[in-house]
Amino acid sequence: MKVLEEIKNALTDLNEDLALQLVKDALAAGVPAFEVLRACQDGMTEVGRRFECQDYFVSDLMMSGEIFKQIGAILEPELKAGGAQTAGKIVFGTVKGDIHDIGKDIVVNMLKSANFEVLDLGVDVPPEKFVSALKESGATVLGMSGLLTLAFDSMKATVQALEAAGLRSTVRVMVGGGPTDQNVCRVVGADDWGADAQQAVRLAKGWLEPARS
Amino acid sequence: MMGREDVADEVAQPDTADCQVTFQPLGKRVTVSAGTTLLEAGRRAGILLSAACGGVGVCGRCRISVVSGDMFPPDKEEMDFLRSGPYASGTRLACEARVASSVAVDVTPGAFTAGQQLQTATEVALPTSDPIIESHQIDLSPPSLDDASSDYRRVAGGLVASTGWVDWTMTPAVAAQLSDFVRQDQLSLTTYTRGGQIVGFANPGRSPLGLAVDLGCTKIAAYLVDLGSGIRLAARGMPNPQITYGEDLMTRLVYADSADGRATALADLARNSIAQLASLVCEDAKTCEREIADVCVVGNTAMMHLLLKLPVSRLLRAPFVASIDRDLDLPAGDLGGRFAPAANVHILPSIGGFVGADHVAMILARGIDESAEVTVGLDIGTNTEIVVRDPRSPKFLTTSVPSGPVFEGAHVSDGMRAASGAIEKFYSATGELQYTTIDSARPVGMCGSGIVDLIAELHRSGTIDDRGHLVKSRSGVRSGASGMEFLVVNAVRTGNGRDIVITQRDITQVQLAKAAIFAGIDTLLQLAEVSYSAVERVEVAGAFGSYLDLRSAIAIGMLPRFPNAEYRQVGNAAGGGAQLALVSRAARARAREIAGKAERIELKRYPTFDRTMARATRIPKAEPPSNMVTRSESARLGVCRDDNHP
Repeated sequence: MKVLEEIKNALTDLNEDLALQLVKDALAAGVPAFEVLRACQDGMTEVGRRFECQDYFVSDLMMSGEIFKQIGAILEPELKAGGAQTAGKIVFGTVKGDIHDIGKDIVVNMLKSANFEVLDLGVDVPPEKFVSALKESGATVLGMSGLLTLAFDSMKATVQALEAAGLRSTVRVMVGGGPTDQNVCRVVGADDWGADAQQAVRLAKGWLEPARS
Repeated sequence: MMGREDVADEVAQPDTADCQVTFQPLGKRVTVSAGTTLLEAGRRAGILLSAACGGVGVCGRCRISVVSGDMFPPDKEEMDFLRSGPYASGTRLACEARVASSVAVDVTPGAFTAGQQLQTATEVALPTSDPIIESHQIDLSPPSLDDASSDYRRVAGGLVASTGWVDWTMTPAVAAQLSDFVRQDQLSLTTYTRGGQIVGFANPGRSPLGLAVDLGCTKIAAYLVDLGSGIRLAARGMPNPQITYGEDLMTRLVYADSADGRATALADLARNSIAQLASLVCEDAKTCEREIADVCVVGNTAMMHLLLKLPVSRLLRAPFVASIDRDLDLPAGDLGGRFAPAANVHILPSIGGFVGADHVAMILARGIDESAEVTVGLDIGTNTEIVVRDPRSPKFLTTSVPSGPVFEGAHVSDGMRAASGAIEKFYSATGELQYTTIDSARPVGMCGSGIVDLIAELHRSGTIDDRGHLVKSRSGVRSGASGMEFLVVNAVRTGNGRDIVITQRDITQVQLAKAAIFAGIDTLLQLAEVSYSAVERVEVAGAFGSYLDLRSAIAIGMLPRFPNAEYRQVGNAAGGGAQLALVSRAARARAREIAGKAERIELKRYPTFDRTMARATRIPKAEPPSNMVTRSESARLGVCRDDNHP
């Protein structure tokens, strides 16, 4: 469909006004919300690809994320009514003591664009809040973000809280953010780590879509 | 140079071997034990090497060149960095490289933090009508067998006669100073008092002096003020030596909190610097530190915590709770300076989070609290503090955005501080990119004002597009070691034989920093319900803010374009506020009032902030109008270089 291609391109080109207008037009013309969503997801995938090729940069990821967030808000009521199928549930947040959210937001938007249902708990999230969100949602993937080195203590405490709550064996944990690396991943007791949003999406796909990948 | 066997020997006994490290071209030498890092050796030699990352081997800003002698081989971290090169042979990271023998190292200009362009100018006229410190000329009667009353009685008697006040207190340290005077048979004295307290003594006819200090994250400025006349006698600046423990506040706070004794080490660095500056300004004014009867220090919340050794463990974690935010007075002797024996240090109150006493001081100095105009004030630094004041509202809104050290030249490949050889200005003439450097030296890097100009010029010429992307087809754009880059100055014309470039990564860093400032201002205006056209005055403070070309700042979208506002560059307004608080009780009362009325906004709580910031990463199409009203009030004559650092 031409309009879907246009939506995808507007998003890929980070043309905020055009993308939002096209989405509204498409819905008004009766295009199903899930198809609009898929076009946006394709657009975000292309943004991610360009980022990997160094044609796009962090500022562009921020912009695409903000456009995608706004489109998501438009589509959400329609998608809920339609009972759309997602690729799996993920709980995500910036850990206690840290309020950096630019990177976290980019990852959350990329995960959402890859059709995951993401419960974004925001910033400065204490371990018990992660635990209760995992319990309530039944999500099996936890993503923790932090930019300060002191965030590692909070990540570790959260993994320990998962253990204490008996969730560690069923929930896979990924960590990310500025200074994170393999060593940090090991120290805090996470399963894996990612240096950017694309890696986070890859990890989530590997964990949640093993049959398809 | 030592042979291989010597090295092996030293490796075997790392703790006993003494190695002499010579820093060229300064010729400074220091003896350290083998295994010491060059950064540490530098610290001991009094040479400040920039270690933006806190000395953990990732930022590469402490690159230096080993000229002769043996070093331990690079560890993995350093190897990784060096491989990311290309770097000249002998290049090492001072924070990681450990000496194995006596060595000579060359400090590359970029790694060197000293000799910066420090700006300590302010243009505040200091009123003296309601002084905190008063002085009285007292003539003592000589002691005799008939009159053996104490020295204190003689002075207090004189004070009672001249003031009518009867209850004078005196500390033992003040008594000791008095005793020194009378022992030399000096019976005519100037007595400095504060309230009912005797602060110290000086020779007859001497005005009390005050020391105002702006304790910044990257630099410390000090001003000597004659409290009698309100005249500023001297001003000096120096780099904050804490910088070797991290260029940004967070790194430093984490360091202070990480082990016992580290908070003390950081506090001592700040205190020693203040004492050192006090002695320098007194030398300049040909006076003596004993005549300094009052001290006022301002700084952001983190700097004040580090100075006063307040606990920081809660300040460095969200929601960033300060230990204390009210104004404080403590004995100046605690800071280690040789001030008048009962002199106090007055610390201005802070607002909340990281918005500290320096921002209160800026608002105070600029009269933003009393102005009838709708004002946006900002102090651009490692953190940028922003205030929006609408005279119709009793409150004013403030916030702090982590603009990062980008505008101070850090985290940019060829960025540097405003030191000799830094490109401070770019402009285009006959289609060519032109530049000027500090001291007209051959360029070795770019400081913040230059970087902002460069982005504006590159955007004008179409070399970068509205999204900040380098356009591959434009001349000068090429593929470099870390992605696309633009060649700014060819190696043949630089002072260090290396190309000066700006990389796509650097441009993105600048975009993020300028977007944070823009979005901070925009969000405060939205919350204050002030439209762009209603803004009447924009006050840009801080060293970088004074050298910044406002037209470039608006062109790249760092500052909004307010159609009806007058933009002013006001120099170190925080230092000006500290001086006001030194001479005037009313100013101290106003500072308390400002801190009480200022509401700190946590931008993260406003979801529109992220969207505004994402949009603000763009470089605006429209150029600022050529008739934009700008005024520089920074009185550049007051700019001082710090000559006491190598």
